[in-house]
Amino acid sequence: MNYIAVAIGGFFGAVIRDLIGKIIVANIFPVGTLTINLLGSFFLLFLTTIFLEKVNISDTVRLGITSGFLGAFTTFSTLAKETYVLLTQGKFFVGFGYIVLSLGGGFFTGILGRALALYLANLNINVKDEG
Amino acid sequence: MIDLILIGFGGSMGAVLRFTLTKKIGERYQGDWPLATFLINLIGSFGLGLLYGLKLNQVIWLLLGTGFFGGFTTFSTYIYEAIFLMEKGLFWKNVNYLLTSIFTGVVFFAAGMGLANFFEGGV
Repeated sequence: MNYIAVAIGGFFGAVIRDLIGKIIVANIFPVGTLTINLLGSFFLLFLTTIFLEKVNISDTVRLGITSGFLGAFTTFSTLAKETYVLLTQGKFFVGFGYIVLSLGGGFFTGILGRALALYLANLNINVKDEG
Repeated sequence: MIDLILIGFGGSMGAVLRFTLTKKIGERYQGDWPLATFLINLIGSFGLGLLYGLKLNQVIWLLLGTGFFGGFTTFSTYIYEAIFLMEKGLFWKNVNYLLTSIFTGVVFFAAGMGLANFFEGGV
């Protein structure tokens, strides 16, 4: 059952990655992948923390969203490809800037997601009891 | 529409393979280093490089490139693991993991392209 949930999540994660990648396009910089990876990092840290601390959901649904959807939505191989392309075009500054923004930005948005989840979990809203 | 189904199908297979490998590797290796995601991202970068270099048709690119390798490799879990290394007090391991992954990822992508060129009798 978990495998099916991961497959369904992975299907939609990849499709939505492609759609967002087509909407957010810039000439000098792979802004689409950057946006996708930063958003995905925020939501993965937010959701895993909130699922652990506050909201009870089944393992199947949790894995479908985290390992399936967010795992496939964000991508590492495209980041490697785009960096390679920038560097081989001689755009060293843009290439290294892209890595710094991706890693630094992902780390920052991830911590932001986790902090927000911990903050919400410590408020006196008993989502767990109601759910 | 067909494009999206190709991407979705490839992505679902990539996600399931990543999920399975992460579980299998996690059962055998219990160290701090996020070995499973590390290997997955390197293999996936190599595979994408190979595919990119082979310049096959658009259908295969959408299915295997955007779909499969895009869904197999993951950025969000990579960041998640880095943040948890830091929370465990392993700050330098976190930095090491982040930097080693991306630099070897780019090298593996280039190696995949190199292999593709070799197949095609290029470089």
